[in-house]
Amino acid sequence: MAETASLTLAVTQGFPSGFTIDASLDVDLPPGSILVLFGPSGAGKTTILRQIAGLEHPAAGTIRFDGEVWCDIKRLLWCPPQKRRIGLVFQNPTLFPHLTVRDNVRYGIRSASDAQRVRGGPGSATGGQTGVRMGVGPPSDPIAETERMLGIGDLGNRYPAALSGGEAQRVALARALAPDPRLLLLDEPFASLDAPARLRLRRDVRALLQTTSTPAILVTHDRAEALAMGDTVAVIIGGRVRQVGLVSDVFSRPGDAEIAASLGIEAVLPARVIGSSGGVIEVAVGDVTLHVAEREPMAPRTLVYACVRAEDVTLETRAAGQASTRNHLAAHVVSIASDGPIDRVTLNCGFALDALITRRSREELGLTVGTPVTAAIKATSVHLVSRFSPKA
Amino acid sequence: MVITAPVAPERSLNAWPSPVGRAYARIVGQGLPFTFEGLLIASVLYSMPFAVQPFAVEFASVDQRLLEASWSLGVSPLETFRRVVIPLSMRGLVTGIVLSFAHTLGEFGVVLMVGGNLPGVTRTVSISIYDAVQSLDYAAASRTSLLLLIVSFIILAFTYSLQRSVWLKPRR
Repeated sequence: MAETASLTLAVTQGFPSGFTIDASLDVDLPPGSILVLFGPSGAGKTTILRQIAGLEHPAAGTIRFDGEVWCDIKRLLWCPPQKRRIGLVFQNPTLFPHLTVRDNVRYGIRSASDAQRVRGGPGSATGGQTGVRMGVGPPSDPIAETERMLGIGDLGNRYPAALSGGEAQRVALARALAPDPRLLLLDEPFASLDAPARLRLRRDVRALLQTTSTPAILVTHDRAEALAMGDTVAVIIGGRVRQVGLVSDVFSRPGDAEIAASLGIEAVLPARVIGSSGGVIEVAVGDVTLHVAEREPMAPRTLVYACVRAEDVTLETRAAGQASTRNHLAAHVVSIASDGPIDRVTLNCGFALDALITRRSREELGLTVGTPVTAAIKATSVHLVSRFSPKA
Repeated sequence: MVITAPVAPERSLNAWPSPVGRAYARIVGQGLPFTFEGLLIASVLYSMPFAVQPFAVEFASVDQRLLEASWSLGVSPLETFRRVVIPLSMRGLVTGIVLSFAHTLGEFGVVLMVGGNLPGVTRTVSISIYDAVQSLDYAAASRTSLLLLIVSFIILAFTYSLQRSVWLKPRR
C-alpha cells in the first residue's frame, strides 16, 4: 500500500465503573507514518486501539479506515478483526507457547493465496508491488527479510519460553507484520522491555515501518516515546481525544492547561544536530543555534527535538555579560499570562519559547509586550530526544 | 433381593412408546435397548459430565489475548479453537477422556438397565463379575475383578505419566 489511508472514528462506550469513552478522530496515515495515542494511564487509549482492532464493540458510533466501514453501530455494520487486515502487538509478548518462533511468525499466513500476495505474485521475476517495497534485487521472502531486520532469523526453532522479553516482542512484531497488514496497532509494545532493548526496538520498528510502508498507531503514556516515534499525536484524556496534530506542534502548543499538564510543560523544538565538541552538542532550531550538554554523542544531521522547560529559561534585559550560561537568545516578549505569583512570559526568539518567572522579577525588569530581552538557557537544561524518523 | 438381568424381548416396531425411539427404530431396524449402540449412547450421556468439567476448566485457562492475537492475524474463531485452544488444552483433554473412560469401565447400573447381559454384545466386565457372583462362580469373579483392577491401574498410571510428560505440558 503506497497511498495515504485515512482513519475516521467517532465512538462512545460506557463501562460499569462510570468511565466513558467518547472519542472522535479523523487522521491521515501516510505509508510508514506513526500516529501516537498519547495520554495518562486509564485515559482510554488502549480501549480506543482495541475498538480499531475490532476486539472491542463500541456502544455507538462509526469507524472507517481507507474507505471501508469497519464499524457502524446504527447501520448494524461490523467488520470482524479477521477481515480488517491489521497487525496487533500487545504490551506483553503474546506468542503461541506451543509453536516455534518460525510457526509463530507464519501463523497468519495459511492459504497459498496469502503466501502469493505477500511474496508479490507467483513467478514474477521483478516482483509485484509488495516485492518492490523490500528494496532492490529479486523478490526475496519478505518474511525472512523482516526476521532478519528484527534480528530473529536464527531463533526459528526455539519455543517462546526460551526467548528473552526483547526477543519475544520482536517475534510478536514479525508475526504481526508477516501477513502484510494495512495498519499496525501497537499497544505500548516497548513498556515491558529494559531501556537498551527498548531503544533498539524503537529504532528497528521505525525502519521496518518505512521499508514495508505500513502505517502504525502507537499507544503510549511515555512522553519520550511519543516524541521519538510519533509523526502525529492524538492526546487522549478522560476518554476523549483532546488534540490532534504534528508532534512538535502539539507538544509545544498544547490546546489548554489540562492537555499541557498531561504533556509536560516543556517547549519541544524540532532541531537538527550541527556538530559536537567537548561534550557540547550544537543543534540548529530554525536559524538559531543552541548548545546542549549531552552525555551521548550524536551524529551531525540527526533529527532531534530540543526540549526546554519554561522554568529553566531566565530573562535579562541588558546585553549578556560573562556567565556560565551557554545559550543567549535575542528575543522579544509576545505575551504575558499570570498564574498567581508566577508569570508565564511567551517569547519570540526565532521560535516560540515560554519562560516562567516571578511577578516580582517581571516588574523589576519592566517587561511588557514587545520588550526586547535576552533569554538565557543553560546547556545542561536543554535535553535532546532523537527522532527515529528517516525522513529529512 | 435378586436382580435379574432382563432378556431382550421381541417387540414390534410400533411398540416403542416415544416418537424419537420409534423414528430411530424405523430407520435402523431395531430399537436402542439391549444393543451395543444403545449401551454406547447411554454410557456417553452418563459419563459426559466427568469429561466436560476438565475440558471447560482447561479451555477457560487459555489466555484471552492469545485468541485476540489469532483473530487479528485473520484466523477465524473456529480455526483459532483448533490451532490454539485445543493444543494448549491437551492435558485437560487427556485427563477428561481417561477419567470418563475409567468411569465407564466400572459402570454397572446403566449398563444393566440399557444393555442387559448379552454375551459378546452388551456384557461388560462389571456385568460379567456380577454374573459370575450370581452363579456362585467366585473363582471366575475374582479373576475378572483382578483383571479389571490391573487395567484400571495401568490406565491411571498412564494418565499421570502423560500429564507429567513434556509434550503435553503447555509451554507457558
